[in-house]
Amino acid sequence: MHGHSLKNYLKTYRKRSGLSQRELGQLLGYKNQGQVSRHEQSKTSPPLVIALAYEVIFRAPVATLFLGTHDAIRTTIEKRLAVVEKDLQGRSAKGPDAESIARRLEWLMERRGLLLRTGHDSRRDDKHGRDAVGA
Amino acid sequence: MIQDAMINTVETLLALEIRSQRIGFAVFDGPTRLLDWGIGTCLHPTCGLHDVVAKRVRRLLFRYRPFAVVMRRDNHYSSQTTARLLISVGAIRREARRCGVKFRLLRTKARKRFFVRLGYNTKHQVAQLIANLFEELSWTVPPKRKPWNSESYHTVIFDAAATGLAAFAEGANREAVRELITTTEALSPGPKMT
Repeated sequence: MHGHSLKNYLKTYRKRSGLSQRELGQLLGYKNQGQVSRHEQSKTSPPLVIALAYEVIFRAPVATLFLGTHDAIRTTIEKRLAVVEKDLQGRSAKGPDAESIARRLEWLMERRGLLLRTGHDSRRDDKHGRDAVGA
Repeated sequence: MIQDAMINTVETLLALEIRSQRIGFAVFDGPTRLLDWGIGTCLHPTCGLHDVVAKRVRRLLFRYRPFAVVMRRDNHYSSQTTARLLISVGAIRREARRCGVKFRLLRTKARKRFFVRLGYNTKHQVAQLIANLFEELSWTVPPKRKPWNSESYHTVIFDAAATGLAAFAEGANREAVRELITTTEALSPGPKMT
């Protein structure tokens, strides 16, 4: 029952800021606290404009605020990309679309390499960030 | 002080503190990060104590899915009767079992010993240390209490947080907790670690 990310960390960020749900709702343009409460409990997902507003208010990226959702989406997309890649690899390389297929495969490989590098760099940045804060 | 980007639920721990009329809680994401904290009332016009406590704890267990629930075993300093405490503990234990979460009782003496070793002898000093460790709690630090004053409303949160920290320190995170406290001491005036 452990080792998971919460769907979102809105409540943590809100409580850290000291804002009430009503105040946050007002900042977001809602009439009351209902929508904020539903977003915090992940009963509903906020629209894009509101998600970006959360990012502006808490000065944290949307992917961080909605970490669990972000992780779930990433996993799904990666699976779909793997299916697409497999499909492309299975096609004939001699047809008129050969160049197009090669380009798409190349992009997929580049993307994977970039993803690995980015992941490595971000971990290193996080560590440096923590060290700097600790110092 | 604590890096916002480091959100990674490694060890989510739910620390509870029970009073006769309310429950204080602190949800830790590892020893260095607080996910949630607050106070809930145990009074209800129609429901019994067991049901109210169970409902409150269930909500936290479902939301944060901690690896363990921890609370103090004995509560000699509270005015609440043993019967009420036993009912509350039973309700929490049952909910934890239902959710497959470890339930752990920490002795008050063990918690006190942990903070005394670090040079924090009084509850007020411990509360100040916790406020320094977790900036988000700094605005609710209870004022220093005279024997004839009532306990501050927010003290229960700090007691829960203290229990959580002591539980982490008793486990595999002893060095992490000590390092955290040493770093905090270097940044703020207060008792020094012995």
